[in-house]
Amino acid sequence: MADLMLTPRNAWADLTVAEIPGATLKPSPTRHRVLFQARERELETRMKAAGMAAPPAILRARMMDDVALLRPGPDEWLIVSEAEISPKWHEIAGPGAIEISHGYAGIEWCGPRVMLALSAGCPLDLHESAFPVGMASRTLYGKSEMLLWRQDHARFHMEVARSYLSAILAFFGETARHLPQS
Amino acid sequence: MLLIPCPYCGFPRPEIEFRHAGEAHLMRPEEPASDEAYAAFLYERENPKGIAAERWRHVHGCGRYFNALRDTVSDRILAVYKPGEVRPEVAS
Ligand SMILES: [Zn+2]
Repeated sequence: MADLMLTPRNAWADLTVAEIPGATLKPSPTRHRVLFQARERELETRMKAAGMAAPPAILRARMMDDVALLRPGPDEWLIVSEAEISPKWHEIAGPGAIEISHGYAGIEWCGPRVMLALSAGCPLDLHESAFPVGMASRTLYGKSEMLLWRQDHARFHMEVARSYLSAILAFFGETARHLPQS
Repeated sequence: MLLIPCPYCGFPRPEIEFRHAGEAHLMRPEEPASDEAYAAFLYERENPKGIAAERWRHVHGCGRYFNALRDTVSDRILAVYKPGEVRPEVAS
């Protein structure tokens, strides 16, 4: 029992991903997440003291060293990283930060038809003039809340509560039947 | 789909990202207060035909509460503003 409690189960275990030509969906290697609240000015001071660049604007993400710093709300910040989040970042996040690594799953969306597949479930305008590269916002996919970050023209990173992952993958599978061919 | 401009996100967002959160500018009565004052605070609402000041929450977005002036006849959002800001003047 103790072992079961200590070893987090892979959020993707037992789930299958539909295959849609031109829109590939796969597990993201990001495994570490810390969420915290801070006023922009306060955070900027802390980051400057640590020799870092300024934090991103609201609804933007920025790669900083080996982590990504996302800002889904005015005072809300999310650190996402493949490697263990360093003590330096924990210090910046402060004592109120919450470690949510195991509660979420990262999904990588890429391919030339990825915008089409996403738009089947996301109510936001995903055209690059409205949702440019570097933008990150919480929104919906189907009925599931998620955080969407555009990393490139045809590459998105999605953060979802792991309990929503099966619903998201099921919805993605449904869209496969409705997307126009080619 | 109705588009609601979020004053924090800074641009119109789809209505399904929001939750309605009741009438805006309700003030808790100062203690000691009568039962009537509490009853009014808890239950009495304007419910106008026309411009209503309402709280909304961008729950599937930035998470923030804000205020909006909505015309209950046309369902148009006429203005949005942050909590603590003065209710703006709008023509109906
Ligand atoms: Zn917002």
